[in-house]
Amino acid sequence: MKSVVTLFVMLTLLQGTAFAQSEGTLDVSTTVDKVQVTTNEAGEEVTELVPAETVVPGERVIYTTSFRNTGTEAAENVVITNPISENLLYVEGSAFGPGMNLEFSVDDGQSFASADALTVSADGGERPATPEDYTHIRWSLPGDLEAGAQGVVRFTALLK
Amino acid sequence: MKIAIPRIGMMLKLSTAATVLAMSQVAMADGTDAGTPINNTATVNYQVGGNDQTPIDAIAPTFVVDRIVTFTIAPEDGVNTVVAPNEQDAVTRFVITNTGNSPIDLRLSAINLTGATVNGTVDDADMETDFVFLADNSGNGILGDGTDSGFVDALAEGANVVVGVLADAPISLIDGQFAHIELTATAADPGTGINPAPDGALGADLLASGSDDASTIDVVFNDGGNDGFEASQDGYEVQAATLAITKTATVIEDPINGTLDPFAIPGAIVEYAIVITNTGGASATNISIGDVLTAELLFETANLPSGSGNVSITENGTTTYCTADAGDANTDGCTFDGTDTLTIEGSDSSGGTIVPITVGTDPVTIRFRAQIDPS
Repeated sequence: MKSVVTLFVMLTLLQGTAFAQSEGTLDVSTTVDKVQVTTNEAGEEVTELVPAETVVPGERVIYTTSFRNTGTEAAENVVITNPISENLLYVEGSAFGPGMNLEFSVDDGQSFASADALTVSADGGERPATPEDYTHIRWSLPGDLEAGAQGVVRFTALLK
Repeated sequence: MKIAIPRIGMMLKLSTAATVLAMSQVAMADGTDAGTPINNTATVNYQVGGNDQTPIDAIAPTFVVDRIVTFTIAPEDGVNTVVAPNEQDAVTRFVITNTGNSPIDLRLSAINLTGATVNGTVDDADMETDFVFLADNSGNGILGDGTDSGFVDALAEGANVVVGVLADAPISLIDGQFAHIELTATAADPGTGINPAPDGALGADLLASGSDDASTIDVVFNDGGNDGFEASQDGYEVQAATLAITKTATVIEDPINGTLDPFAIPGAIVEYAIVITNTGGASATNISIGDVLTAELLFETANLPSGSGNVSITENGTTTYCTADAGDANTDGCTFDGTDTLTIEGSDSSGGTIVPITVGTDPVTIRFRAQIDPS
């Protein structure tokens, strides 16, 4: 079955947005949307992002954090840390942030490493970490965020 | 390094991620409780000119987990319940399991099926339609102990409940018929909050809802048909008693020949044998037999030679005796009114000693004697 992906990025940025009050030079906001998959008349699956108003276990939501440097100076060492709610399960491979380094934590945010470098204790030894183990996601901007520049990070989680 | 993020690049990345998401989306049974608020806060740390700036919390709008309604219903044993004509409150049992993420009330209803094949048998009769339901909400495994109710009260997620359907059998049913029924359970509002407890009240039927408010618990049907109700079938098998009765007379002795080739002449003693046979599928209980002797016969009130009563009842090779007396003074169920009427009661509402008469596969034979009026 062919998948038709329809996304409303602009709409998403307007929906369900909680703006943080910024004392500094960054404007940051996070939105949440539900991934809705429906089948159209042609029998094709259509994926849409809709407001996260009706969400039941097994469905997926996308959190999008947008940031913009509204100051006149470059922002350095921009790091975005996102704990994963206990009722959510990170969907493997879903986190992205253009131009940013992506790391995860399996110890409640004390340490971070890339997905393939993370391990957890198991049966007296170590095993590779799986998305069920992740407690935090962290995005780091390797360079400066120039004045006026903006960025976005995003991840998908499944409601347990 | 200067970061410039072209918008077209975002679009491409986003499409890739969303395609992965579209692959499968199967709702999980159970899962996070309905009503649970889901929060997400991203914290942004950064520096300007080498100086740490105040971290910024980006708090996503909170949404609450909505109610996914999914449950199953099945017969407890898949075997027809045996019922006799005119039997009241014959029970079929079902098990309902809540596989959703919230307790649910369930409204119960039942109908008679027509011609349906259930438990390998074809329906050809109906029970009375005034069905009564007993839901074992206490989970004590006992139906009809006074702790049940006519609906399922806040069945917890992952839990199951036994529901009994009580149906009355019309007296017109005949042996070998099948009366099949269908029980329907409809999801109803269990009450407010997260994991509402049983409240002794049946809520309104749940309706699929989608609100424009992320803080409202919506209802999403994920049961079979996505309609909030499920049905299951079970049946009754009619087993009735089909009685036949025969009466034979044997002359035992007469005043002239004694017991050697006696004739039915005045003064002769005649032994009557009433044989009751049952060719139906069920035993007949509490049988009552009446016999009116003709004017020429005098009931022998003395004990039969073989035992301690003037009436014998032979059942499954065992013979018991009773003494037919006026007004059943000895409360053994056997009465002779002093003139012409012999009555043998299979039960005695007075609670005294009785002669139980049950006719199963073996016939029951009742014997008594009378004298042909010698005068």
